[in-house]
Amino acid sequence: MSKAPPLDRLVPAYIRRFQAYIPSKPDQELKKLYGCSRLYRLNNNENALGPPHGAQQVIRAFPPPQASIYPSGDAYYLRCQLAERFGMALEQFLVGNGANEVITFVIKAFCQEGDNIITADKTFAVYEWVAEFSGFEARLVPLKDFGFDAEGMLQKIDERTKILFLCNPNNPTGSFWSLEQLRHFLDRIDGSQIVVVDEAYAEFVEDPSYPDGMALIREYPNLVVFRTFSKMYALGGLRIGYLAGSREVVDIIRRTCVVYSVNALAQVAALAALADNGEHVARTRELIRRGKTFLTKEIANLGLPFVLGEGNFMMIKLPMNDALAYRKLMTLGVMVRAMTAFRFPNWIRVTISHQEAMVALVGALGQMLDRAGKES
Amino acid sequence: MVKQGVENDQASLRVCGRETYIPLATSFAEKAAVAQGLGKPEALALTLAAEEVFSYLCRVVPPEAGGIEIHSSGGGYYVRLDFVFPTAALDMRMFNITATLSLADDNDLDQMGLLLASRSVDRFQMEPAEGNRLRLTLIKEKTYPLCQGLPLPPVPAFAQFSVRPPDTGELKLFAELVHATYCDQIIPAVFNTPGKLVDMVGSGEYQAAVAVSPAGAIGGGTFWHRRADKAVEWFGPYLFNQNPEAGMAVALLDHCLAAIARSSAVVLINHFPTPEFPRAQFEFLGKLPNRKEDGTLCHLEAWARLLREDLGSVVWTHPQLHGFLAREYARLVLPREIRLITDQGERHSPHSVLLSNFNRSLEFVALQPIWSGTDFDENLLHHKELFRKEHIQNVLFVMDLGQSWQAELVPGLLRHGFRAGIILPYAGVADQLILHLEETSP
Repeated sequence: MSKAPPLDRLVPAYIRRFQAYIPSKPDQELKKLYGCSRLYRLNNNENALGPPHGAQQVIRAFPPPQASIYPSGDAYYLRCQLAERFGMALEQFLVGNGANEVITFVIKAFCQEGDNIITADKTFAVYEWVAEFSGFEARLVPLKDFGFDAEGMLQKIDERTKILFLCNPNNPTGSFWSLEQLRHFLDRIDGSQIVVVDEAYAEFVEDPSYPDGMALIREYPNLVVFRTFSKMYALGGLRIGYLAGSREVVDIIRRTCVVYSVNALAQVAALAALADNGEHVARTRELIRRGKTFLTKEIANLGLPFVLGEGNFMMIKLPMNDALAYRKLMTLGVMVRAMTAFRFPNWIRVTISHQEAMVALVGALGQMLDRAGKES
Repeated sequence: MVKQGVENDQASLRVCGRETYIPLATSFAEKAAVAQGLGKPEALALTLAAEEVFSYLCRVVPPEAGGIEIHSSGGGYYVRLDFVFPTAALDMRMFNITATLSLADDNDLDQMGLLLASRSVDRFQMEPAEGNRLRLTLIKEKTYPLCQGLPLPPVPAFAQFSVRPPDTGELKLFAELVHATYCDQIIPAVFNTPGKLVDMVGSGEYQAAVAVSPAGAIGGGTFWHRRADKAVEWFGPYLFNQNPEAGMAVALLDHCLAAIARSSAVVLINHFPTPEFPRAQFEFLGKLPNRKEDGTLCHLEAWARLLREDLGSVVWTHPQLHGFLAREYARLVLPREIRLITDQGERHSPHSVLLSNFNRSLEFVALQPIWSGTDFDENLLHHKELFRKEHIQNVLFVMDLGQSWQAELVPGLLRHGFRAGIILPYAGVADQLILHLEETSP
């Protein structure tokens, strides 16, 4: 055996400091671990309806021999379709292996040693993670009333700030900036930094004051918008997301973009999803509306505070440690997201799903709280 | 977790294991210790330990086996000396606190250096290193003046506060306030030496937060450190003249949680819950009997809070403890695959080593197995006798359930009166099991 590599010398200090994220085990393993025969997955904000009908057909019809052929290296046809859909140019889009990958593209494209990015402390963690394991500082601004604090973010800017990340609507609180708020923020930035608006949950929002980031790109060439096919279009298992921006900015980001990272099946399924006539979005929104109405009443009946905004999720505050609640709920066949890692201790986030799952969630919560009450 | 300030405070020496290099090795140890902040007496004590260890290694490590590496690193409040050497045949029994020497036995004389070394430092540990080598670590702490207990200005009760890291002056004041407000039973010994707390936080190994009024008064505080790869130990919360129901205790906890939420830490553990400790947010792990010098009996509690979804893990045990572990894991709702060890007739090392960690304020000693050996029963008995002679009434045994070889010690422990007490999730390679010696044990 050859000698062990001198990791102290080989590994950059910022990598030594960074801790790897350990994702959840596969469902079958979790069921064995927690001894449950059925598991309702309410932890990842997946769409219970599955992909749009057209996308499901394309997936079923995918010819196995096609797996031996490399996909379009830059998702050409999908970008064409996106350009047509949003009235923009093909060159204004980049497609990645999930929105997580496009986050990496943007940070690599603009940051160098000593630079920083700014985002919120209680939002999607990947902006912070990618910055940190790339050796850049992530400046975190506390949420204000469960929403992004524009003034706090602006105050954190210095000459080494390259990117500001806004999650709109925010995961996990569901809060969002209106068109007026977003414009005001972009005007204050005045093109000095890149502003990323992550619209992973945009298709769920029904509030008319919610801004369409895509429409603002023409006015704000420093604006980059993220979208994903994982949430509304339920293609999370295929990993596909995209970004859009001005030609000049996207041309820069394209230099850090890894081509061929998006597989062929994901590309054709995404194309089919885009072709949906709106029926899938409407059905999903209806499911979410019903689920929210049901949960609002039932969670209030349990006496638990909650935060319910836009998106297909809800945050619930528990009178106990969220990680313990996760384990207890798992034994009852319900998987939720424990929120301490989102810096919301004692909160859980649950996906709004079909009625059977919502009933199971409420039942499990009630059972857990009853037991906890008796034990105390 | 980031180690601020001391990350690069280290020096290394790679040297052939020959006695002609003893002056070089000792000179390196001394000069590095002084450069890394030890006072003269402590640096000399560490140098003596280094000389004894190196001399011993020169006798037992064949030069052709490879060199000896010595790494010295400053930790702010201590200096750590690591010896990494290519042998598994080392007889480490002199590192047992019970070790005695027979001058008639040449082999024992060989070990005398190790005995001296073990007594010259504050802590030592051994572990396997990469490439069939061993790592022997000696740690010597700086000496600090004791808290003088001077009268402190009264702290007003206040409703508005913010939580933030303290500056040096605030940290010392915080330590003095804790020392003045809480009895020794529920505070760690570091509060007796505020300067040490400052260095511990300055090194980045510990972190602290205080709750401060708009006028700058300190109404409460807390501190924490990485106890193991996946476990953070949390101390407090400590409140000074504040309404315990006003949310300050929880705010201090939330500050700590926010700081570690996206780290590799999986669990927050508290062994020193204060009256203000937010119990509802933690899981009760259990309690251990703790007999005081005056004969009164109290209990040491342990609480934990997992920080994320538990993805399960593997633990090892002996069949005699399987029932206990299965019950406790079910109570704690911790999914674990409990594997049983079996004796397949494999060869074992002759001598075991037990590390003795004394906690003077809580009047207990915690034994930790460092090395397995066929003499474990006898070694454990010697330790029990020593503690009995020293009137130490509370003896704990810390077993890492992630290390299968430690499970082999279970029958001996049970024979000698130890009983399973508390499981500390993720406190070692896997979970730790704390056993305690029953008062009426033989």
